[in-house]
Amino acid sequence: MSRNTWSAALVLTLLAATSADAQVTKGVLGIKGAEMS
Amino acid sequence: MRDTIARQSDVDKNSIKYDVAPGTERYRHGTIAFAATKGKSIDLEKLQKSLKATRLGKGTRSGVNYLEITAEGDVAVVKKDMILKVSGTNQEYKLVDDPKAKPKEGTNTPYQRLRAALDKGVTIANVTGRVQAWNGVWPKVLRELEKENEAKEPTPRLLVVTEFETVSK
Repeated sequence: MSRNTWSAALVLTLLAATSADAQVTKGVLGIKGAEMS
Repeated sequence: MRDTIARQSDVDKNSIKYDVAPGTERYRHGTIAFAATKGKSIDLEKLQKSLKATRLGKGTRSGVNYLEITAEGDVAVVKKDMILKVSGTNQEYKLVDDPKAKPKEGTNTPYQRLRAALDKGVTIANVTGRVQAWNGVWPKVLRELEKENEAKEPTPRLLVVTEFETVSK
């Protein structure tokens, strides 16, 4: 993965990280190294 | 690829908001806000494992400033500590005050307001806070989170309270 696409990968990871058995409903990830892909 | 995974996921893909500070330098600050679809939830351990599997697991100077979550559950006072028990799970967070908080005179921190609400018997609907250990360069953060998950006797993770909502009657 190129350096320029890591933030897009992070978004995809967030999309995948869910389960039906807890109640954490929202999140905000503050990041450093936020390159636009 | 993004669209493909989004279609396969139960997450509300429309909730994702990506903001980055203006500029051209490589290591800029940004935020990614996201929300689960109704009835679903964000699994932090799964999130951490997925991140480790990417190039963020090693060899990068990029990092995380914070992970702020909103969790629904019961808040109980246990031996002077406020513990958030996340609904439907064994997950527990020990709620703490921001050690760097400097509230204006006559005002209280979110943690102090939450404590006062509990003392009055108010029911808490959800708590928003920043999760302990999600701060630093990605490889180091992910390594430390993994160690914590593998601990034989895990202790409740700290959650620095930034906001909360009460149940309206």
